[in-house]
Amino acid sequence: MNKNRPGCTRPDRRDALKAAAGAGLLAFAPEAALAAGQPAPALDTRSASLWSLWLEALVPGAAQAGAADYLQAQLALPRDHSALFLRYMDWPGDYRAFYRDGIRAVDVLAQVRHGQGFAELDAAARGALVGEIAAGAPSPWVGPPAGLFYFVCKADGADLVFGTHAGFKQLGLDYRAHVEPAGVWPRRA
Amino acid sequence: MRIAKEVEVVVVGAGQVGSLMAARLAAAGRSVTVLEAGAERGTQSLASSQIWARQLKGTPGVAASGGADPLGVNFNTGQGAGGSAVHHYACWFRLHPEDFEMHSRYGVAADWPLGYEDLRGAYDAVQEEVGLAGDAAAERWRPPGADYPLPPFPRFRQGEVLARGFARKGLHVSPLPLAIATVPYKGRQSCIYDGWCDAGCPTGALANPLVTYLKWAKEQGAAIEYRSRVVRVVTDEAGGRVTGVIVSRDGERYFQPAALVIVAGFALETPRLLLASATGRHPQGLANGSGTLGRYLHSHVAGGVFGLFNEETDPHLGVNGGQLLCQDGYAKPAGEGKDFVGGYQWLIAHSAKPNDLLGIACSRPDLHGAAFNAFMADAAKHFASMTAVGESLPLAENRVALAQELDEHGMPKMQVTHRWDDNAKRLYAHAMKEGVDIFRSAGAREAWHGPMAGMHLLGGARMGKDAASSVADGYGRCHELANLFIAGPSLFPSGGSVNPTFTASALAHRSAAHIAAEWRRYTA
Repeated sequence: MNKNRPGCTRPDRRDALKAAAGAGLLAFAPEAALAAGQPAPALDTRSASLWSLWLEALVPGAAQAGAADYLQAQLALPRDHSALFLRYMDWPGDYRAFYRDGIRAVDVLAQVRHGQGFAELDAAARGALVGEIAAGAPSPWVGPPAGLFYFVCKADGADLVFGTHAGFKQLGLDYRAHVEPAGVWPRRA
Repeated sequence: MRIAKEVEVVVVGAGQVGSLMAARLAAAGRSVTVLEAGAERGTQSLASSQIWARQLKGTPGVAASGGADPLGVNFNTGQGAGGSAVHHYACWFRLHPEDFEMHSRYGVAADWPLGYEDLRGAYDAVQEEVGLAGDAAAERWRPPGADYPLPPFPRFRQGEVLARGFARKGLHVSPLPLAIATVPYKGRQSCIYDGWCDAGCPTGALANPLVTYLKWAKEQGAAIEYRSRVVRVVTDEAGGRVTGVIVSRDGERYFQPAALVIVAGFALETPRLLLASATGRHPQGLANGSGTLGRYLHSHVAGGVFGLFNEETDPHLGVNGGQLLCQDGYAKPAGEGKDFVGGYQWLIAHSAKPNDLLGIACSRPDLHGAAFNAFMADAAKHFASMTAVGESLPLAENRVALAQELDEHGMPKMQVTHRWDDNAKRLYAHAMKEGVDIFRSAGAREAWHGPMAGMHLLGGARMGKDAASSVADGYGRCHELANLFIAGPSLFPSGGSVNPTFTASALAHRSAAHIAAEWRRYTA
């Protein structure tokens, strides 16, 4: 990176901001929430696992980036503390139901198309199914609007794979944080 | 019900204009209490993350956003200290003189009850106060006014690349005017161009209310009460004056008496509160004798244009609002090659993060799997983007209404209804074609555009000269109530084609000065 470009000036300012933020981040630390006891997971194990596979098909790397844990953590937060992309969509219903019903609809569609669940499909079949859902009118589909579910989940995948320090690094970008975000997904507001 | 100690001024909402009004009136010697429904926050809570920044956004009181073209409410709103201005992009423009006269000049929308010259001094004063960076001479479209107090932003590679496309199409660009310090200004540090503006700028370079008007309001002695939801504005028995507000906080409701009330709740919460304050004297809601309260809600029609270049563009550097501006398309009349009334501007070369709604990833919703990851790897260094901001015509049917559902405070939630007018659809199609052409002229190896989207929320409590067709006068005073004022973009009869924060701030500056000067007239 060209150190003479304006964006590369005064790294000491950036470091100072991060240092000053330390005290604030302590209140955000997941350990504190863990010590206080975790709430029950929002999704059952099978649904969370299936969502992880679905997200991996949308954005490769999402499963390893912690897709299941991210969603469980976010769904454990009060709605006004959620950082899920779904927040932007003005979804009036329950966030847990959005994901639970969407995952179930994906799995049912896989059963109808291929006679087996989404988890049992090979990569090509998963990709084809994603394409059908992305087009917005799969049938049968009982859940949130298919196109919306696809769009939101893909944005979740982009958050996980490309929106963190590791994601920026993978893309060859300097994260340049002013205030460091939480490194682990907190489950308490 | 408990009755709190009377204050002279209650301001509802600690966002940009509520904070500005509070700062001004406190400085004028008035006792001021600001009641903010959301939480307190400081700059150190503004984590540099497009993921966590979503916690800054949203309006929990919306039951549903519907209609043929639902508005994006949560993305465009905010809650807590500083309101939506905490995550705003700081693109500060003046409306043009013709924006104030859309009905009389072009037969559409409605005229403002004031003209550009009435607001010019307020624009000048506010820009000096918060520190605007730009190049007034290079903005050949700019209405008359004082030069910017701060030098313009530097161009990064993305700006250079896209400027080439505009030049080849015979279009002019200037530095984007921004409420972001390019050099240290009044104790605030200068920008370091890391592109975290809409995550909430913690450095103090971006003039969000946490480092400007809200801070100054507190310094002037205004009291800021957080998690205090105003659920009703109370009037006297005759219905000609307000006497205070009912506040819900921590499970308790109390009455806060005030000599004068200013509602600064943004385009949705302001009409919601007044509609929810209906009385026997005001059965349709306070200040709603015209029946226009909640109506004429509108937004700017926006569309993103994206491209990939062979050369590196450094798309993550700069500020989210952009580096350059083009208002060559601002002229209003329809004509040859232009099948719509109204104008648009280009915000050029946004700093884009990899993820999020305005990030690189969402520019290609069609891609998934390995193809998507390959796109991201390419785009991270070669992506460019710009946004058309265009005019939409305020329609009476686009509105905020009360829903049956109640919120946690027992206040009716909102039902928001919106559709685009056909004129806005034609404007969008025209701009997208032009934008893709510009990218190709700049040398993009791929160029495409995004969907029609709403940007900013305006109207809902519009001002006007005629009490039969508007809610408030040119100072934001409600026609029917001597001491009830509205501040913010909800007052806009039309929105022009520019981001609204500067104009909303200038209006509030003008109104606050008027209230301070005419205090006895409104409170006697």
